[in-house]
Amino acid sequence: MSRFQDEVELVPRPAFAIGLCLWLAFFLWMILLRFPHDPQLSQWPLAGKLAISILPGIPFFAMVLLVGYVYADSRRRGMRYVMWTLLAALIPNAIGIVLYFVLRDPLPVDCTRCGAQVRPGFAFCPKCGGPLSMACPQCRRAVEPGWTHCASCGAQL
Amino acid sequence: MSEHESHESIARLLPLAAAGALDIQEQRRLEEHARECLVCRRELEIWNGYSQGLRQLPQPPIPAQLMERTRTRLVQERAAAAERRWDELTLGALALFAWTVGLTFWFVARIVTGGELVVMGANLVRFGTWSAGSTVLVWMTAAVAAIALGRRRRELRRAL
Repeated sequence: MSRFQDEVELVPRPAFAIGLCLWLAFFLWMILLRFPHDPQLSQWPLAGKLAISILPGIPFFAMVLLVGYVYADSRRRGMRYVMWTLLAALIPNAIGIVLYFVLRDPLPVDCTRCGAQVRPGFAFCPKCGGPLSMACPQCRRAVEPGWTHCASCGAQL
Repeated sequence: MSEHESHESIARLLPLAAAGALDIQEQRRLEEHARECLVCRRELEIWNGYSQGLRQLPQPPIPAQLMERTRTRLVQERAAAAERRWDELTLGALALFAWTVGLTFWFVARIVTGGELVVMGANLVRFGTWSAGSTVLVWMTAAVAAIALGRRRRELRRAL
């Protein structure tokens, strides 16, 4: 659950505000403008009117939060966040959001020497040259703990 | 348990008994059975012979940092499995969410347009037209995703 909370905390505060405003606007539009002027809808019972004024707003609210999440997450991953936010918001049926989750880049890691954000899998920081992970002593490519030989040059580790 | 079944179950324990891996109860049960069963007694003697022979062989040296490497690998595999589970859950929830949003959009579109939005002779807010449009959109998106994933995998392979 803590992982989920961490992810929710990424959503920018304005996204919550925009989502709530949209929900409220839809509710007011239905109650004040749609029901009084539609002869079919005006005959609905109060519970039904409230349900179709409130419930459709929930997925819209969630969608705004997810678009906010896509914005913040793509930004921290060093991706093209404007493009991804627009795709998430504009492709109908939340398909842009699904697409983002399938195609997003892995999280960058912080260089312990200069603090730069670096793509995972690098053995050295491209900004300062500081070591990021274990490297092969022969070809200097990244190796993983547990390997006895380098996967690139075959040298014994 | 019949005598035959008891014999079969004891016979399975014989190699473990020779290796000293049985608990006290199992060991007692085996000894009681072996006292009366000549076949098991002989087989146990053979297994004991193997066991003693194996103990006399030179022990291979344990690689340095084996424990540390194994532990690191276990931690990595567990983290990778948790990540995979999280990704599967997220994508499952998102697929469900996409369906919900699709249906909600259709419902709201019907309310907003009064059930009729005719473009080039087709009523776009009819359920059939709407779901056909959604299906085409999903297939197109899946194709884009597949192309992008394929391209990324090729780049990764080239980088390695």
